Amino acid sequence: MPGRIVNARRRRVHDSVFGNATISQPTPIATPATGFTQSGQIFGAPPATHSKYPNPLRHSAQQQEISSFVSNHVDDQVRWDRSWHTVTHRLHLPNFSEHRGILEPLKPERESLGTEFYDALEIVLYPQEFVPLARQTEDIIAWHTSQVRQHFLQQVFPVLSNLKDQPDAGALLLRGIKTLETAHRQYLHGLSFIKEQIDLSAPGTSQTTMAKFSRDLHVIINSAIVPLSGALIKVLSWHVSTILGLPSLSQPSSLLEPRNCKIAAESQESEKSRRELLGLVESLNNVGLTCERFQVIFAAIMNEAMTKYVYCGCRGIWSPVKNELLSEVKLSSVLPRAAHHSSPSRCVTDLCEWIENRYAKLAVQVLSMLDTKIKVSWADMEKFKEMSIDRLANLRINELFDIVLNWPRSSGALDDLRTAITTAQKRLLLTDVFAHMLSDNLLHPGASTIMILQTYISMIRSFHALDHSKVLLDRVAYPLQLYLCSREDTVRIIIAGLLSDTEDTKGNPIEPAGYKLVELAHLLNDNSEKMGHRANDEELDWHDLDWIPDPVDAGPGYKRSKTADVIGTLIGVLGSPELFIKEFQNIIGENFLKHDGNFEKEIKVLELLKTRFGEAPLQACEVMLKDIQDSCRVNGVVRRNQNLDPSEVEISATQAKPDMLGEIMSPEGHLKPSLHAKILSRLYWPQLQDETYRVPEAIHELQKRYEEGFQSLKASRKLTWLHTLGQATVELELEDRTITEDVHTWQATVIWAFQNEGLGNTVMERTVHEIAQVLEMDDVLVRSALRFWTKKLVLHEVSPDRFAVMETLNPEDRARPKAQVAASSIPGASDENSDGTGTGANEGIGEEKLGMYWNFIQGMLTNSSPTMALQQISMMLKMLISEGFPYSNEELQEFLGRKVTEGSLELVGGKYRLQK
Amino acid sequence: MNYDMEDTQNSAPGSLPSNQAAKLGGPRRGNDAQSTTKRLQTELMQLMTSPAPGVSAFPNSDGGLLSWTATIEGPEDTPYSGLTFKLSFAFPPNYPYAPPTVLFKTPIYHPNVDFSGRICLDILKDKWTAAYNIQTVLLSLQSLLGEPNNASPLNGEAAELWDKNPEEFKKKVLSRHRVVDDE
Repeated sequence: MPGRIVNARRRRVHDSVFGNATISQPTPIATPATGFTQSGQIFGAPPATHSKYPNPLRHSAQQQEISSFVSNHVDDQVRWDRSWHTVTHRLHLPNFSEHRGILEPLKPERESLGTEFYDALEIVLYPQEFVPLARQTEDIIAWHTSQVRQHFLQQVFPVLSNLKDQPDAGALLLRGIKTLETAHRQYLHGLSFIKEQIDLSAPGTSQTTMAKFSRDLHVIINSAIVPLSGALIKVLSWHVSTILGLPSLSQPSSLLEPRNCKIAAESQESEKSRRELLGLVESLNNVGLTCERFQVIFAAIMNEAMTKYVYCGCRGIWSPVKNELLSEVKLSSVLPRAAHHSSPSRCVTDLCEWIENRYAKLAVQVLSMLDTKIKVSWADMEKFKEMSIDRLANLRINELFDIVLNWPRSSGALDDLRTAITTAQKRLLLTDVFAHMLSDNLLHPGASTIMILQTYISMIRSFHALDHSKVLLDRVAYPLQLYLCSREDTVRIIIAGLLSDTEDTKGNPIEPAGYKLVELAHLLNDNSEKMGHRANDEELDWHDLDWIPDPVDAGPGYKRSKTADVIGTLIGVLGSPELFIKEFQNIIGENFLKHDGNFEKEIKVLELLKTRFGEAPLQACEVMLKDIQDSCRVNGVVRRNQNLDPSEVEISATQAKPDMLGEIMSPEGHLKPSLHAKILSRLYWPQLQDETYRVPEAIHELQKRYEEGFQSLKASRKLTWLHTLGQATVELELEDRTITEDVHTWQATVIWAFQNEGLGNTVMERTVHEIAQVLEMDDVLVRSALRFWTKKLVLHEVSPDRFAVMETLNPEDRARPKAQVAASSIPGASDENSDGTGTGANEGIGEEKLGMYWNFIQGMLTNSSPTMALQQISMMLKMLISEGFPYSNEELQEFLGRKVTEGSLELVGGKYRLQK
Repeated sequence: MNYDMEDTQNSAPGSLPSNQAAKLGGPRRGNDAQSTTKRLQTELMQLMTSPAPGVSAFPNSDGGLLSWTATIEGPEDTPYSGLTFKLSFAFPPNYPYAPPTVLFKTPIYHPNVDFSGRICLDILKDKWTAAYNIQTVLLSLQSLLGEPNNASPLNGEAAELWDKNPEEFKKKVLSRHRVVDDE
């Protein structure tokens, strides 16, 4: 094979020039100058012979001296070179093979080394002693180090890099560590010969040499952490999370569902994991991988673990501590100094326990295995706790909106916050975050005013629990107040809430519901919260042991108050007093006219408003109250004087319940109409709208007599009748049934018009127009009343706008009334109410507004979105029509239904769209 | 009992304006954004109570009154007759002291509208005054369809065709028009 021979030759030539990559240099890098071969000397003869055979030829003595001096030098140098060659040749690192067995002896094998090697090594190690004249000597340790470095980079590192492809992080790490161990052993093996020799010739001096080498070695190996770090992070974090009882750390915390996160207790598994982790750390430490980089990785994982614990273990856990099992002593030992608090919450306590018993323990265990100076001290653990509480605070701040909504079930979370929020910056962060959430979640047209008010009440109370000073609340509440002021119905809802019933008719407490602020009424009746009580002298209360100074971030003009004072805050902040009083006047006006009784709630609210706004502005309300109370008395007197009462019995009955005649039917009521009046001082009552119409003759007669009676009683005053504002109890005797109803006077008047004066069996029929003419009543009002009676199954519409009395009911109608009347009573009631104040009666969606609503709906469906569901349309209308859209969804549906039959709309899949 | 509960809920329609008036005179005035909202609400009311033929506008359903969609019908005797065009209105927070941003959503071939729907109309730029409103803007745009301002075209080709080749122009208009039915 000539080709191969050529190749071999060529390689030899190449190697002779550039050296073989796999063998070390046989001589030190700088070949010592041995001088030129002198004349008469054999070329290449061993220099040792120089001295033995002095040059016999003609040389001067001086020359000879120099020559021997030079030759000594040369001699030493060559000896050193040879020794160097011997040593380095033997110590040259073999090719690295990853799959090498542990039992396989390391090269060079000890037995193969003869004395020749040790002699050479001695020379190399101590050139001063053995070859003092050699000029060029080198440090064998340094050589070994550089050899190791090259070997590592060229052979071991690629092996490690190739490991990356391994899918399983644990196996990858294990193999990596094994590879490193092998390499490590190999490197130390070479060094061990040197060490032995040093120990032999100069005992005790090997220490420093070895330390230097191993330090260098660690630095070299540390670079191996780069390919391994991915696996290392995975394995470490898996172990750490198992040990600390956390859910897997692999997924980012934001994706975790709170219910999936549970902090596992310490178990066998966690102990096993702990052992494995410590074993791993130990082997890493042995090969020298526990450098700064590892520590950084570990620290990052621990840091993440703490966040995760807070996130998993505390999120959504807001309930306060239920059992008082935790004794004070234990608490104070667990909690860090900064978090000492009279009532630490469960989460904080749990967190601190976890930090102390598991987290810090793990950190100490791992760090103590590393040869670093970092030791976890007691103070560090305190720091851990403070850090974790800080994180808890951040979590709670982000949850705060939901916490507030869940008040009072979330008081535990508020305790957390109170413990953790200690600095002014944190307080600022809290208010900023909360204000942001508030405007995102609540202050938009989609939220009902009631909802906003309920949230505000929760805010007042929960922020009070958080910070008695109200500084925080003031900061977040301002945009809310501003927004509430822009809502038309805020004040009305508050007043209505104050006046609402806290107990239903059976005496069960009414739960706060979506449509009314019953909370306020509860608060009003709750004596624990002193209404209008202002502890102005609190500053001077020397016995107050809980006194704390004003918060640092309190603004000027800050006034402390101890109670949450929900009602006070609501009334004081939202709108001007005049607005409140006006609204209050309207509502109690309606209540006074509609009901009878003691009006305890009204009086209570009146007192409350008086303490807040002073007596003078509420004078009108006082007068109104007095009117009602007086008219009760006057009514009795007038009726007696005018002989309107048939008997004493009836007076007492009517006085007890003058208008609720449904149950206690007065004897008089059976015989002839009876009349009771409420006398109002016109100037003091809010504007009362009135529709005039002709009252039935009998009633008119009664009114006249009543008027006379009143004028004889109070000569200087005159009675004016407001027909529509009253209540009437009507008893209808039909052929097969008798109906008794409490109705509005105008409704009673309309049915009066149907009274069958004749005795014949002809069924009474009337058209809307007729009734309107006879009664001189507004058309709309007539229609509304007719509709009411149709619902009660007293009338029925025989043809459009023509109504007749249903004297008899057919069987299915008879079955219907109870259920249907009950069912329809809600929309019916809403009509009545919108009519009840006599403002403007509407029947369904009134004709005059119909055009405009239709324009809205058309505009909506043309521009906003081509198809819309009923709910959407109704919401848009309510939102966009500035004077309000007072109709219910049913009414809207009916209206839209009409448009569908007209052919201008079509209903597809529950959504309306314009017919093209 | 149902009766009075409902009563406190449903305010009587007639009592609202006085209520509103009291609030307006109250110590806490609404901020700028609120006055913008008020103005837009009033404009909506006007549009609905006295609608102009061929144009309509309505706020978008995603809350907030600051973005609207409008529809213009192409006027008779113009190349656009029989076509409808959707526009988007975006109102700045200081409306009406700054003009709304109006864009054609429907692709339109017109000398003063570019291919992304931007409109060259002086009252939407420097000639804007607070006296204009949505309806006047829509009516101006409608008349712009019939009488383009060829002196300052955004679409030069259209301006040229308008004068020179009305048939070709009409063809281009029809080919460009597409019914956008978003949502």
